[in-house]
Amino acid sequence: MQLNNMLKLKAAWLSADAPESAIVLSSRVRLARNLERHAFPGKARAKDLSRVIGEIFEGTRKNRIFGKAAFLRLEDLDDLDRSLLVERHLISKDLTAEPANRGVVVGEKEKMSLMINEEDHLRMQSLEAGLSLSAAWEALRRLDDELGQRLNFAYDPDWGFLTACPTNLGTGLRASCLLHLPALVWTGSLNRVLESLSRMRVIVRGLYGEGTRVLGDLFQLSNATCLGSTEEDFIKHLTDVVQTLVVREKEERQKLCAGGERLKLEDSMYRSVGILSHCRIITFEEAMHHLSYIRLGIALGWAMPMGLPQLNDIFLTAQPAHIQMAAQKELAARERDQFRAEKIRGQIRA
Amino acid sequence: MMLCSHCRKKEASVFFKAIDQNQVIELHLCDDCAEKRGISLVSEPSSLSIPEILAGLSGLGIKPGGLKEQSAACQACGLRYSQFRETGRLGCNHCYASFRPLLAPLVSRIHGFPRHQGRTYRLNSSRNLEELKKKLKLAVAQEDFETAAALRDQIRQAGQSE
Repeated sequence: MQLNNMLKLKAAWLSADAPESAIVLSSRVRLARNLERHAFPGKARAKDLSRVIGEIFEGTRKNRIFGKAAFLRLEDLDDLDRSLLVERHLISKDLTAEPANRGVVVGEKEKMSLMINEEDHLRMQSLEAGLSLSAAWEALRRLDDELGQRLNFAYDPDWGFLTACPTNLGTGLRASCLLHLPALVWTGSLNRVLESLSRMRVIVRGLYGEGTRVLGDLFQLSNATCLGSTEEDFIKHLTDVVQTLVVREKEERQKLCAGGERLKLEDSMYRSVGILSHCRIITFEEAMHHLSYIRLGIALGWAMPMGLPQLNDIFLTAQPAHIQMAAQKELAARERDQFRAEKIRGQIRA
Repeated sequence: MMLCSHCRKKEASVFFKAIDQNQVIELHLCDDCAEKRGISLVSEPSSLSIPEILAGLSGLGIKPGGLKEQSAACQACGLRYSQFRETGRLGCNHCYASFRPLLAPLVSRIHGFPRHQGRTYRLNSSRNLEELKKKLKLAVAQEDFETAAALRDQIRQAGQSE
């Protein structure tokens, strides 16, 4: 449990004071890069993987963006530490599957981070609160410039940056936004909207990315392709799509408030407040369900027992690894649910 | 009316283009033939895995210039193309050169575009030079003079281009 200090830190990307933060929780941009001299991680020998970590750590330490960064090897961390990093969206679940010779670099306020030896040698990520894809890209572009000077990236003039999977070929750029869309879910219009998104080369996923479930009406939207346009065009396209969705969600929210469904919605919302304020046992899934209603209530300006910053904090710290880290020990599922209920009640009273 | 280049019965509605090193491959498919091979514009591009997309592409009459799918292997890392077909993951950056004609239609299919338009990148030549000098020292120490001679040429070249 080395990383329990992280619990005291607020992830900057969960700030409630950002563009469209009532609907868009966060914006993330990542770049996939590989070092020219080594086989991709899936094919490389352990010795090479270890060298890759060394080269990237060395190249990064000199970078001012990572002046106060944490340089971690996954094998030095325990399961709980690793899960904590997944829950804070700093590494993927895939990276934890085989911890030997995998690395992570976490920058100040968790805004910039690197994942080493996942599918590619290097995944750089920039996370910002709200709808701020351009800002996230700008920060990442500077990092890419600097690291590109120190490390030799695999590149082909026709195909761009070379990646283990051809789906990431070209810019190696994946931009994504985490959106809260409860009104579109409530009215059942979401499916139609999602169908139209696939024609716009945008992918929709659950909270933790690829292959994960949708929890708390949170959806992750990202670009489906990354070769054939400039990085700026991919960023602009996704921003446009997200903006369209924000408008649709707002319209749907207004309709709900004005229409005959309002009483039903109010009832659900205040039931959720009641449950979170008084529960004694609660799973993460159930907590997410109720937090979704409360988040909607806050956005609509209804009287709620907490503001957006507090809600974002509960959302982060109610996750299973965060709960165990706060309890300072590993807990069975039932104990976890009990501890979570207690913690959330405390957070609401505070 | 343009007929589907696969079934030659229905009208073609999906136009698919892939660029190989020296030839453009064009396919005109009807909705049904395209759908069967996962080349529908309506379907989500990422909903198919690489092995699925590859299965869809094979049998469309794309003949990659002289490369035999079964026996093709990367000279640098040894990955066989058949392994890539199963996992969807390449072994090293040289695989892209080794399998270029086989990969071109796949890349076009995934991204809908065959060429990179994003940031350009040039290997850092001074760093490259450092690495080469290190290798030369090693080769000389190991009395591998053939490698050493090749490295000396590369260093000379890198020095000139700086």
